[in-house]
Amino acid sequence: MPPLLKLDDVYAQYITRYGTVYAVNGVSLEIGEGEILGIVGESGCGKSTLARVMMMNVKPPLHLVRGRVLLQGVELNRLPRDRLKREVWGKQVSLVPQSVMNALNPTMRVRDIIRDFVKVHNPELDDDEVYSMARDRFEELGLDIRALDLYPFELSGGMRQRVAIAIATLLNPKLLIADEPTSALDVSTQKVVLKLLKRLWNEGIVKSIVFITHDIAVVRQIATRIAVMYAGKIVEVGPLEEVIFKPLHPYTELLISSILTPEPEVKKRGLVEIRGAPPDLRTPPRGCPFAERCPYATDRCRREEPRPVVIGSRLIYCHLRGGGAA
Amino acid sequence: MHPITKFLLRKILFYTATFIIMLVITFVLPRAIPGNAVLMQLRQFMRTAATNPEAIEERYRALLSYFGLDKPLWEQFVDYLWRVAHGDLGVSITFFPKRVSDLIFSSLPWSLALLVPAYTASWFVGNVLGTYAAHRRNTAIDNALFSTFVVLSQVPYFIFGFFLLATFAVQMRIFPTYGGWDVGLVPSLTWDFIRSYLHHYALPFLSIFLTGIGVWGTGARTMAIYEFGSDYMEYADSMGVPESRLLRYAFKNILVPQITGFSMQLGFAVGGALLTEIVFSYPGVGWLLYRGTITQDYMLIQGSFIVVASSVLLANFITDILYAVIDPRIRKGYVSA
Amino acid sequence: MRFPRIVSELLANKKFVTGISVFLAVLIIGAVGPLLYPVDPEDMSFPSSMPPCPEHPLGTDYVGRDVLAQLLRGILSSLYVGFLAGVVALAIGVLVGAVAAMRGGVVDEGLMAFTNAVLLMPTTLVLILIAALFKTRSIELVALLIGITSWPWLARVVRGEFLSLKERDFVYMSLLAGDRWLSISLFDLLPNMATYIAMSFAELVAGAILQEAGISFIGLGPTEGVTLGRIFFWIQTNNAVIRGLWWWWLPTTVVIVAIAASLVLVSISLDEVFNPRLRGG
Repeated sequence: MPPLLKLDDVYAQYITRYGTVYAVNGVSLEIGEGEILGIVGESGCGKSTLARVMMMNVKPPLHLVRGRVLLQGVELNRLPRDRLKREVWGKQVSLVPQSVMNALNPTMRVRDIIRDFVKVHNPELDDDEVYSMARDRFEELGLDIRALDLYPFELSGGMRQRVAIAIATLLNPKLLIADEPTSALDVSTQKVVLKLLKRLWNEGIVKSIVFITHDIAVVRQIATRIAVMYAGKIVEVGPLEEVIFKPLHPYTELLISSILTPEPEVKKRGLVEIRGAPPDLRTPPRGCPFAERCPYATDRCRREEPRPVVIGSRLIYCHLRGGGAA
Repeated sequence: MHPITKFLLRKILFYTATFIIMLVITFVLPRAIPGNAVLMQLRQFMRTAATNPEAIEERYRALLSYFGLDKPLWEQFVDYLWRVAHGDLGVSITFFPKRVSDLIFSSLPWSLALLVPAYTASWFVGNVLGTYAAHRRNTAIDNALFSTFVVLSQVPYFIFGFFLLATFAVQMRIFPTYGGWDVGLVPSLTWDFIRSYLHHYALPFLSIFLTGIGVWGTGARTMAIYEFGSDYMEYADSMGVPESRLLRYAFKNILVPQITGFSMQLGFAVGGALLTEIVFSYPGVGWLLYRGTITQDYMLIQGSFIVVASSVLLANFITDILYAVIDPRIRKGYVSA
Repeated sequence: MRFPRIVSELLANKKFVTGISVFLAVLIIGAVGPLLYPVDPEDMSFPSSMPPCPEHPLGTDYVGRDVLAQLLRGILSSLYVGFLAGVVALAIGVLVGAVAAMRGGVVDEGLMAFTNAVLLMPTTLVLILIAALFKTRSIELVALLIGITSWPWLARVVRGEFLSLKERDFVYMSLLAGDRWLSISLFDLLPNMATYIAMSFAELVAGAILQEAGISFIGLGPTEGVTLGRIFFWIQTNNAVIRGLWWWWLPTTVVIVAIAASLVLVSISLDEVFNPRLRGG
């Protein structure tokens, strides 16, 4: 089966007169139908930019410099913005907002936010049809339908997030992109939100989910496959359990060891264990992006960019795993 | 207590206090500053006494009785409050023996007829254009609108009036140069009068309307830039909500804070509008005041101040309530405003 | 941001360059002009209502004064009024805003209610009311009166900024270290508001110059010296616009709008340079 979404050698940059930020540097990635792909990385590694590129929500200063974005074979990068808005966003590919606190218009009731959104894609529906559609979906997902009559500021943080997810999936999009949907929530609300996402997926309301987070512990609870991102590049992709229990890339290894260590003291320190800071994306390094901080780095790592290596069902970008063999 | 009741009580308290402070200030000022208006008036009477001693004697008595300087201070204050409460603002020196309140209340409707429509229209149009400029940010349209806003916002109404007067009345002779209606007409609801009035009304209206657009446009543009950059806008955009609808969201959401702006700027705009009346000799409170200031008619100045300031306070009170009705966050008690 | 970066960012901002150039140009004309063109602006011995000619580059007014001499003198006095009034308003506004934010509670409530009350007053009329009580008014008195009526919105902004800065770590540390709120305000908070202060000052100066023009226009401005406002008063009382004496009223209006607009442009550009969200491109 062809993948639902395919990124083909994508480069995306923020180009301003103060300089260029190389946010996404040669990412190729496939999201198959029926999978939940977790994208993990430290903040500033380009994962949110990647989310924008996945739905081709690219506008200045962000530019897609190279590469293609294919949704079921259709090149999104060739579609004009107004067509994307009319035919793709919200309908085929939908987004759960990163900061849900402010993602809903503060002066509109939830039902009116929904009405505006649904009517873009289904202008033939009248207001009552939209409202009953929203009510049905809220009931199906176990959300209080009274929320429809409230303003966003009247909802609790967790409720607001669940409402946002319900809105994003109202039109049964094939792909749902969730960008740090839980990072602003407390642990118990996090669980509720993860459960809701999983339910949407189980019931086939959405076919696939891309779940973006900096928190490997969260992604473990939901993803089927995982992609690790570092400095604008994917360094390792593979099935969840394999990557977590047998990481092949040194960065993945360090990232996971910092979280899976049982002693809370070490756990708390997290990435501090990895020496140095991630590279400045205004001047990305020449060779392997992780070379500067990698305990195993060789001269070659600093000089040459590693090529992808397939090991089993995994893809790794590392010289140590033979990524230099051209 | 219901949040809305609390909100109302607070507002009533604030406006009452402000009103009282205003009265205290108008009472204290002429009595506190040495070489004050009253003495100045007396000196002027002495000077003109030679030509018409009887008229002087009359005016002198009118002033003295209003100020009641021979009584103790507290009694003067009670007297003053009593008079103001009964609409007695004293007797004009310039237009003796006319009562200040009569003079003001016959000019006030004309001032309101000028200010209210011009100010409201510029508020609305300025917000529309400012939001639009923000939406087309950094394009040629935005640059053109923005530069126009900045220059217009720094042109006082009355100076803009000079341009309009010179261009459309003196040069092109499309509009009259002077007055509120043609000489010989009396205010009435006749077609002749209304046509003549509108003809005289156009230029002063445009002076306030066009320059006002600059003030509101600049403010609306900055606010709308923040709205367009906000998370909810970004999100609605990425859900496919069309541009025209986003523009409407931004407009609606800046209107809420701009209503506060509307009332906050009102006091300033009133001053500007009164000065504009002078340029066109338009028969409102400003024109009355102008004729009064030339003869230092303090009673008239003080009376105008009390009436205008009270009207501004009242208008603010009304917009505050309107604001609470419009913004759900205040209506439901989430923000105290 | 480091200092050289600030300068280069400012110089890259078109609004800043336009604003500061226009303002400096007017300032230099006002400062040097009267020296290069030493005609007495109140000398009425010239022919009346003369259009521009070699002897009088901007003509003469209705009562036979040289318009260029008036304008040159007016620029400097108006800038002087603006500067004085700006300093007074800045001092009151910062003080009220800072005290309200730092003391909080009843002090804050009271000060803000007072500030809002003053803000609601029709400023021009307040100025007229007070100015009418003085028989003679110096330029400094008028500037002082304008200053003490134009601070309220600044106080609100300063209070808001102080409240948000107060939450930051470094202020908390200072409070823990036992510093008094006054020294914290002066040494920790104000430097953080340097941009705001500069912006507000530019706007206060512009506003004060226009305000002077307004009350002088109605006849209650300075009773001595030549300010732009007094020129407007003469223009009005002599019906210069209706008489078609454009060389009298036009240059004066252009100059006052240029001063005010250039100052506001500088303020807007500072906001753009230091406020990333408004930055273009």
